[in-house]
Order: sequence, then structure tokens, then C-alpha cells
Amino acid sequence: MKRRKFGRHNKIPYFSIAVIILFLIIGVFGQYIAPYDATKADLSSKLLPPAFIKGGSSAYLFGTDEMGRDVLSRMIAGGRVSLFVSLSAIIVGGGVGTILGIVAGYFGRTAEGIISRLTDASLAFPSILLALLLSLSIGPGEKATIISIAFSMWAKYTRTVKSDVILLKNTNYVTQAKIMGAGKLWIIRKHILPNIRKMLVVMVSLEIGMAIITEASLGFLGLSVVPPTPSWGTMIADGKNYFLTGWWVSVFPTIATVLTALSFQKFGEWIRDRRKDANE
Amino acid sequence: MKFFIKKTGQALITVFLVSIIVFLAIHSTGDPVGSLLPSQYTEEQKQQLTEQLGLDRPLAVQYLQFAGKALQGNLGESYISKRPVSDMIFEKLPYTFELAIVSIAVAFIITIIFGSIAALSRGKLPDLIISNLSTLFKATPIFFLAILMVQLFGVKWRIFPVSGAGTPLHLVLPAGLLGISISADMVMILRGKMIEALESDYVKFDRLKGIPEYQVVLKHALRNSFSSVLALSSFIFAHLIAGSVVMENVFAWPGIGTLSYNSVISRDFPVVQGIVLLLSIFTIVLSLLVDIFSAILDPRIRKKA
Amino acid sequence: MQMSDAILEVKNLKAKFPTPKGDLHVLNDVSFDVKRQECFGIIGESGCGKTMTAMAILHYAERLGLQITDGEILFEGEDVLRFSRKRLREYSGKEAAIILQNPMEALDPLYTVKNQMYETIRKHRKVTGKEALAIMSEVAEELSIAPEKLNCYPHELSGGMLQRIVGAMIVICRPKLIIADEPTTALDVTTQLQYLKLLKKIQNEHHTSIIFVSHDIKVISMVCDRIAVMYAGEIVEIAPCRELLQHPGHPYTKALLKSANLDRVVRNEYETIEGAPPNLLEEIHRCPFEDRCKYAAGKCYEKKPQAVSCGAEHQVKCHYL
Repeated sequence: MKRRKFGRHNKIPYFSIAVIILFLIIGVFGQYIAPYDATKADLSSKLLPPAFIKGGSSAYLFGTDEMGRDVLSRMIAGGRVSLFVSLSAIIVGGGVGTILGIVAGYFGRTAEGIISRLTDASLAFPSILLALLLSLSIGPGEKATIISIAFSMWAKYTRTVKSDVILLKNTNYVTQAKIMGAGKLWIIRKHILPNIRKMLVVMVSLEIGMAIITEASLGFLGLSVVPPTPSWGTMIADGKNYFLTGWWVSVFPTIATVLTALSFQKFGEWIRDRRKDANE
Repeated sequence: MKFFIKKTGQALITVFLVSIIVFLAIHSTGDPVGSLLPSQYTEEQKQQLTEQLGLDRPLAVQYLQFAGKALQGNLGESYISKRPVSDMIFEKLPYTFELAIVSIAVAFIITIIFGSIAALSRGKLPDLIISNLSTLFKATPIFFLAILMVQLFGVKWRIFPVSGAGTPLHLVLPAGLLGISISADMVMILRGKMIEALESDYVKFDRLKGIPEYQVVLKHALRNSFSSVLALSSFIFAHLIAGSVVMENVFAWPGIGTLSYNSVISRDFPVVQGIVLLLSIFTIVLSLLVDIFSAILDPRIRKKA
Repeated sequence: MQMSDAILEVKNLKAKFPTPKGDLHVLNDVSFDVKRQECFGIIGESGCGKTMTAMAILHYAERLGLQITDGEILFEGEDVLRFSRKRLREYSGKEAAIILQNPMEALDPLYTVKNQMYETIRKHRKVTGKEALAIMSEVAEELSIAPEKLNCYPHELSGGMLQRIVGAMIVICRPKLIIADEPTTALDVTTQLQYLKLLKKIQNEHHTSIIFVSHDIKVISMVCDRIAVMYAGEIVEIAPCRELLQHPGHPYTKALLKSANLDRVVRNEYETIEGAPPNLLEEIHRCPFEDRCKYAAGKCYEKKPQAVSCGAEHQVKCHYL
């Protein structure tokens, strides 16, 4: 008798879902919500503390930065960048990775050999290095960031999808379909894709958090969006020089990054566990 | 032995592919000339410089030249300082190695200790603390922690030096933080694999044969789970490189990360190209070493290859 | 103290397995004894509690999450359930040992067979390294394991060979009681017979007792002296092997024997047992076999049958014998 795995309490992560929804709303409608223009400097009101501590003004809920720009408005604008960059990167990286994974897993042989070497090469190549190169050749900005993050992700999808496809390819029902004369594309569409779709959903939600953090790191190094456009990473970098006098400039974007990344992580884990439970 | 040759062969192919990626990424829009010319230049000047740099030839030819020179250790000259790129890099390399090696050591130690504790106390308090902390560390941008440490330990309390390198004290913060950040993933992986191992039949059989528990855990459960963690080494090293560039930036560490950052700002193409090439080769070599090490640990890997 | 002729006595063992849906009553009043040098069989379908009984005897059930609520397990008169950690270390392996179902997973994949046998020898016998190697080759020869196999890793060997090696480790431990939990289920049919012979050989030469757990009546009747039939966490019938095969008392045993009868299969007359075992989430206060039993009537729905003697060493839990 196998040990039974009972008691995995898989509660719905309401808090994480709320954070994710808030993040999506800000990303899509941010420009209508933000109280100020994120890039408008006002040197008369620089480094004002947040509204809820002494010396703060209710006009600036999270305070202002060294150029008198509203931290909240900049965070909202930065959230938009985070959402756009991480989603695009996942779509590009996950898409390319999945297609290559199916090709490698289903067709095997030469295709698998070539693709395996490519994934090795890409795994040996941290996104940050590509970002360095691209910031020179095509210039820093959202495009370079998306390519770098996508490049750091596709190999993971390829590997996972490949091993799943190899398992699926050898199942009885696929063999059965082949004997009945089904074409390759038909089998992929009918049997392979639906089966890897759920796994992809889990991977995507686990990876969005990582993409957000990577974007922030690149932003921190000045390899992401170009100032004065804010991103959470660049805001944290801006705040580092006057951390003791104006901690709020970098602390709030950090909290936003951590919360969003954690929420996607928890959400992904929840979907994954739910899937596991359903399988058992 | 066959395994060793095969892995080395694969690593060489990987190096070749990486060099193509580096070359293409730099030449994808390919106007390095523009940034080198004075702000007002004649078409003739541009032509001359392009020829001088060999940028007018077909891409394939340019790649072969680049690769040929790189094989001889010639990575070109810096546009700015006019010094050989290889000299500039090798000057800084020891610092980066120092940071990387200490960080990875810290990461492995943390992983083994806390991963095992979490697995052995599964579902109890120590496990909950370790699991939640590692999720939190995974979601926290490492550079924010670095800034925080610089402000607290360096500026406010003045316990550790927070800029430059040289003494072991300089290493504490950057290597410690980087080690923790890398281990956040690994701890959870080790925990999961160890729980699996502890529930396996061979552990059950060992215990029922009367093998003492410490021996069951250290010799059997830990070694089995650790070799699964090593299988993910390529992710670990990518994380290590990315992290060390960030860390060098915050702690003004005089290594390759700082050099690359400065070169990007001054648009020094050959230097950036050389650094990226070397760092990725460094990652490949590390992964190769780990592959060999895991094959020593796990006989099944040797057979598979 | 006079030694009884039973090496192991299990008395009124009750155990439950906590789950989110409530407690699963896995063992309900299990009693039996195993004599010295006897091969005692426990048969039953999966989930009936045979493995849990085996694990309880080895004091390992609690590690798997089982809660023993009542009863005692006496090994040479000592209660296993009250063993201290120190006493337990002596007991595991040296006095009682187990052969697990799947030999492919019973050995650590990262070490050679030799390494793991050596580890076992050094634990159980106070000998030098050289002597340990001598013991190893002696045991290997006894169980006809070719010496070169010792240098292999588990994944390089066949299931039959691995199970032989597991047997060799047991021999090294020299336990007084071996529990074999479906030791042949994972093996090819042709290797099964060889292994059963090997097990009998170990039993005869080392004067050990064996508890042989299986769901296969054919295998179990080949090797066992006495057989206990388990159903829904209870032993419904105990009898000497021949007696059980010729005069089964309990309707469940009869059905079991019929469903395994090859002659009937040849004549195209399959007999299956309809229905499923009862839900163990609730405590059962009637005959557990009542809803699948052809003969069930009156009393069966009201109270649990007690064990009734019918012949020498033959006990059956049924109201209508």
C-alpha cells in the first residue's frame, strides 16, 4: 500500500488573485488612474515623505522623488511597463519554446539534437548578458528587454514540453491514432496540444513573477526602459542614492515587485497543486 | 571516459553556438561606427572607418575573422582605451571569480543544511519557516536587499566595507547575499527531492535493516537528492552570472560586471562582446564540471550518456 | 521464563489511518501467531490491511502515518509496540527483517551492490573489513549470485537478481523472522518459482520463521504451512494450508479459491466476487463480507461474527458454518 498523501490543504489564494487583478487593472487603465503625470518634475516639492508619516502631504500618497515626481503615479506607470514587458516576453519566449519543444519531442532525431544544443547554449547564456549586448546594438528599451527575457525563457519551455511530448507520443492512444492513419499535425493538434496546455498555464503563471523580477533587475542596471519613463527597477535604482533621506522612493516599488512576483508564484503553485489533486 | 568525451564535445558545440549568438546580437543592427565618429562626419570618414573595422565584408566572413582571432586569445581592442580587450578582462577576472566561487559555496552550504532540515521536519515549524523564507527571497529583487545592506551595514552601522574588494570582509555582504539569493530555488528543490528519497523503498529497506538513521539520511537520502539538484546547474549558473553583475554594480566590486556596465555606458563594443563571450564560456565550463561531478555521484547518468 | 513455541503473537491489533475525510479503520481486531520455523501466509486483496500488519510488526507503521489504537504485538514475549529506540535498532534487521515488493526500488541507485551489502554486514556483525568481504562472498555463493554481480549498480541488474540480493542482505542480518511482502509480485512468472525455492532454502538452513504476504493464493499455498485470510482489516479465517485449500470455511475464502481455480477457467466458467470491500471510514459492527456474501442472512447484518473453531488449528469468523 502506498503512503497516502492526505492533508494537502489547497486553499484558494484570494489575496494573490486580488493582487494580480489589481496589477492587471493598473497595467491596462493605469494612465486614467494615476493622479499625476509620471514624468513631470517639480523641484519645489522634491523628496516629500508619504502622506501617512510626519511631514507628508495628502497630495502625494507615497511621497515624491528627488525631482519632485509623484511616486504613486510613477509606480502605476512602472507597473504598466512590468506588465507589458513580462507578458510580451512570456508570449514570445513561451511560444517559441513550445513550438521547438513539440518539434524536438515529436520528430526526434536530428531536430532533437540541434534543438538540444540550442537550449544548452541559451541556458549557458544569462539574460543579463544578452541585455548588455542588445542595449548596445538596438539600444536600451522595452524591445531589448523583451528579447532578452524571452531568450532566457524559451529553453525551459522547450525542455519541459519536449519531455512531455515524448511521454505523450508513446501513449497507447497516440499509437492507436497512428495505426488508424492519423496525420502528424492532426495528432499534435488533437492529442498533444490539449495535454500540454495545462502544464503551460502553470509554467506561465510561475514564470511571470520571474519575468517581472528580471525586468526590474535590468531596469536597475539601466538596461531596460530609457529615463524618464519609469519602471520599478529604475525607481529602485534612483532611490538608492538617498536611501536614508528618502527611503520611500525605492521601498514602495520594491514592495510592488515582491507582492506581484509572490502573487503570481502562489497562484501558479495553486493551479499546479489543483491539477495534481485532480490527477490523483 | 566515453561520457567525459561526449560531454566535452557537447560543451564545445555550445561554445560555438554561443559565439554566434554574441556575434549576431552585436551585429544585428550593426551600426557601431556611428557612435565612434565625431558628431559631424563626412560620408568619406564613415566609409574609411567601416573599412578599417572590416564591417563592409559579408557577415559570415566577419564571423570567421572574429572567431579566428578569438581562438588566438585576441578579442580586439577597446574603442575607448585602445588597450587589448583580453588584457582588460583578465585584469578583472580574478575578482569576479572570487565573488562567484564564494557565492556558489555559500549557496551550496545553505542548500544542503536548510534543504535537509526542511525535508526532515516536513510540515512542522522549521519546514514552514524555511519554505516561506525561500519563497520570499525568490520574489525579492536581490539588488534591493543589496542596497538595504549597504545602507545599514555600510553607511549607518559601519560594520562591513561596502565598496571595493581586497579583504575577506569585503566579501561578506556581496557573496553572502548572492549565495542566499541563488540558494532560494535550490533549497526548495533539495527539499522536494529529499522528501521523495525519504519515502522511497530503499530508505525504508535501509531503516528496516537497522542502518542508523544518520547514515540513512546522510549517505542515502542526501546524496540521492543532491544529485538531482546538480542536474539543474545551468539555471544556477545563469543566476550566478546575472546576480554577480548586479552585485558588482551595487558594491562597486572591481570585477567584470562593473567593467561591462561601464563599457555599455561608453558604448565600447569590443569590450562588451569579449566579456559576454568569456562569461558564457565560463558558465559552460562550470556546467561541464558539474555534469562530470554528477556523473561521479550518480552511476545512472554515466550510463545514459 | 519458558519460551513458548510461537515467535510472534499478534493480539487484538486495531489501527486507524487519519485522513481529511475521517479515520480509516485499517486493522480491526487482528490476532494470529507465528511459530518458530514456520512459514505463515497472509492473503487478501489490496487494501485489506496485510501490508499495514506487516509494517506494524516491524514497528514501522507509525512512520507511515498509522495510529495503533489497541492490541499488542509480542515478539518472543516482548511487546514490539513498547520498544525503546535503542531496542528497536537491535530489533530491525537483526530479529525481524522485511523483503519489499519491488526489488528495483529496494536498493539505493547510487551505490554498488557490494557497498550496500558491506554496509549491512558492518552494521550487524562485529567483524573486520576483510572478514566482511569473506562473509559477502560466502552468502553470494549460497544464494548463487555470481561474484561479478556484486560490483554492479542496481539499475544494471534484473529484478530477479535484485530480489536475490535483497535475500542475501536478509541472510546477512540473520533475523529470526522474515516478513516477505509480495516478494514475487514484481518478478516474471518463471523467476517467481526460483525465488520461492530460495526463500524456502533460507528458511530451512537458517531456521527462520517467515510471514509471507501475498494476494496470490497459488504462490502462497506453495510455500506456507498455515494461511490467514484477511478481509477488510480482519482475519476471517486461519487454517493449515492443506486444510484451507480442501475445506475452506468462510464464504470469502471459498470465493477466493474458486476465482483462482484454473480448471474452471479452462472450462470457461469464471467465478468472480461481485461488489467491493466495505468502506472503512466507518467502524463496522456487522459481518464485513455481508453485502458480497451469497449466504448472508439475519445475524450477519446485526453483529460481528466471532472466531469459531472447526477442526485442528482451523478458525473461521462466520455465523453460519
